[in-house]
Amino acid sequence: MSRSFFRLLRDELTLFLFDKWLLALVTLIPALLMLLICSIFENGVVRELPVAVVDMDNTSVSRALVRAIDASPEMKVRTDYLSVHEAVHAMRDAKVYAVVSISPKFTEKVVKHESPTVDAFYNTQFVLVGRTLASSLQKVVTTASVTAAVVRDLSRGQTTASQAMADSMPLQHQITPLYNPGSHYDQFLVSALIPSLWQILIMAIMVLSFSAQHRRTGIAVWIDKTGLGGFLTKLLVNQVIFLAMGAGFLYYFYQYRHWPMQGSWRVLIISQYLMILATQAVASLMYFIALDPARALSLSAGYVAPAFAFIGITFPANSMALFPQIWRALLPITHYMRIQVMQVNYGADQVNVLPEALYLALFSLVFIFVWLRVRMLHKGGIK
Amino acid sequence: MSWLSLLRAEFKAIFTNPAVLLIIIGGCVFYSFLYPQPYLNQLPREQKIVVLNLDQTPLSRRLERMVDATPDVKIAAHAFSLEEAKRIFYKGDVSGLMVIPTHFYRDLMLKRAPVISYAGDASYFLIYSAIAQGTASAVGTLSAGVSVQRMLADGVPISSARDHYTEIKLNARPVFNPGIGYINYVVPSVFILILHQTLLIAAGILGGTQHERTQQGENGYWLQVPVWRLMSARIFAFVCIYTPLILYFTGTCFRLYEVPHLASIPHLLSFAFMFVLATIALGMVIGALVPRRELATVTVLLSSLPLVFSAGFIWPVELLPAWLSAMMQFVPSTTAIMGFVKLNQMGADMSQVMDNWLELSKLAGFYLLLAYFLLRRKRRHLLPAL
Repeated sequence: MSRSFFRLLRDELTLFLFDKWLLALVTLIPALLMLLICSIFENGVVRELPVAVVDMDNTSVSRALVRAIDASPEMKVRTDYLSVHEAVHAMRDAKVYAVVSISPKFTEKVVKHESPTVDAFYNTQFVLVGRTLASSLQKVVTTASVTAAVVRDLSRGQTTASQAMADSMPLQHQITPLYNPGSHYDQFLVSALIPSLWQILIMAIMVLSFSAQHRRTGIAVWIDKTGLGGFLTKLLVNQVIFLAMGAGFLYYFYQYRHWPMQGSWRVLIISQYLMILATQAVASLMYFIALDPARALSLSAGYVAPAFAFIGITFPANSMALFPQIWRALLPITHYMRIQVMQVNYGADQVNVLPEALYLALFSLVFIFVWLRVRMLHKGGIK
Repeated sequence: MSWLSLLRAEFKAIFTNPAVLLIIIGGCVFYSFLYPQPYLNQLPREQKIVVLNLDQTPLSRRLERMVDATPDVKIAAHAFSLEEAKRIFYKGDVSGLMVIPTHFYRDLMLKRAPVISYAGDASYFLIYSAIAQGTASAVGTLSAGVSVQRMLADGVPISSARDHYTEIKLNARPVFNPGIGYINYVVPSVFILILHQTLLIAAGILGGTQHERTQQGENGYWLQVPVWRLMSARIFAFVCIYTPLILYFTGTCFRLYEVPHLASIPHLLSFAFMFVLATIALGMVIGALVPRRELATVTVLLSSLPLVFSAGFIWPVELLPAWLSAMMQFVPSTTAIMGFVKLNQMGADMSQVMDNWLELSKLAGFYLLLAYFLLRRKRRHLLPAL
């Protein structure tokens, strides 16, 4: 090894000046991506979704019900549809997400204690929206129903308000969401989306770093001249960059946005480091197998582009079939996210984090394959 | 060069470029297999909870059995104190906790409206809502049953009691995806995005490769013909390649994953044509802008997640800030996904997707013009050097 560490360091740093796109990928582009994702979820909770209400009765109780639906934070009533048919047509056009139909003589039936039915169709092609609307509609109708019962009982004069309530709802329930008390979608999704993008960036930047090196001096020449030292320096310089990105988003989530954070920062940063190392191992392998940057990136894309769905945040891992369970174990982000959730939400003991941390550490074994591949190319006399 | 030999040269350029082939064939086939994998089981089921039954009466145990019987929830453990319940929860074996209060049966009989409480891990929303749904439906059913029994005790006939246990009833029916399955939710839209992204990368890499080779001094066929002719041949070639791919995704794959496909083939293809045209045009713009072909891949790769979440099928467009929504309209996938979902999943007719079709045609026109000017400018820069 004929070069000192500082020369290697300088060479790595000047690579970012040599390749302006590489520079953009470590500065401007991560910031833009973060801005994009955070802007998408600017509205952290689902609200004011258009719902078509066709009120064919248009008297006191039915109008009160329509007002109650509109008052619900998740729904916004659209009354411009004159028939259910027209409203469903609009639902097919994605102009409204649900259609509520109140039959004629609704008020009359309520007053006569004849238990009329309110019909509704809700669009579950968009599951998140559909389920939210179903539960909001249920809440509105149940409240209206209980109110009607209470009013009726009180008007008979034989009871008190609390007794009337207990009569109409024999059993009550109370649900508490743990770890995400406001049920904020942004906290839930953004805290998984940003790390996924981070994994993609790590892969892309590593592949492009090797390819920039190849354009500058030729990868064979670089390995010959700098050997292990050059390789490790490249890994190290990029690790610092990736760790800065990681610490950056952790700071944004848990200090700036004040999302709940019960765990240890030290555990998180160490896990981030292991995750970075694991991803770098796979990225290096992909580069040295493909040798061509476009092909290496296509391979990397195949590996990390669909990764978000496999993490288990949106669709639970415990309900996945065998193959996706295996595939997700091969993605570093899966293990890192489990540690992040455990630390941040449960403040888990360090010992619970160990299995996932060990999985991440195991990825370093991939470097052995990288070394074998490099030797193979060397013997074959590469480019 | 005749247009036909130009077309042949284009096909040859596509099929002899390993990176392009990898992304078109490898990418489409591989992603059509991989992306749906997490959702194969359609619904999350049998989320485990721990029950703290402080009452231990037969009715409380009946409630437990009802909760266990729902497909959403499974009672994995029983605890006899709150500390024990918490311990089981923190160990991570269960994702929820249900508490049946002391004197549950007594309070119910005394009409004191006892409260069943449950807590779920909301770090994983689907797990949380599965638990909420399972427990709520069991409690709601028991509650209705109690109301009916009370009415019976008051002398109301059973048929009447069954209909009138509540003042206002809600009959809510899920439409377009009645099983509320996750495959039907995600797969149709993601497939359109896969087509979009792979086409962008393929067109981008093709353009980028030819640009690189020009810079290295090669006087390829792409420089021998007017720009508009090259563009028309490229468009034709990619339309030929991507039309069967679209049928593969929306026909074969949909059938494989049992996703409904309501649109007729002519309607689908006429909408698809404009989608492919707009996407090829954008791909050519990208190919003309990137100095090296692999940068086309990086750009498209990084844009995938933002595009998925701003397309409106997971997170509603109504909740996006206006500037972001407007910006995303410049990407063909945003409008295309909505159009295809309306046609195939929601049974809309062609008149309802006209806005989407027109939007795509505007994008196609805009990007074609832009690609033309960019390619012509590039050629003028490079030709003197040859």
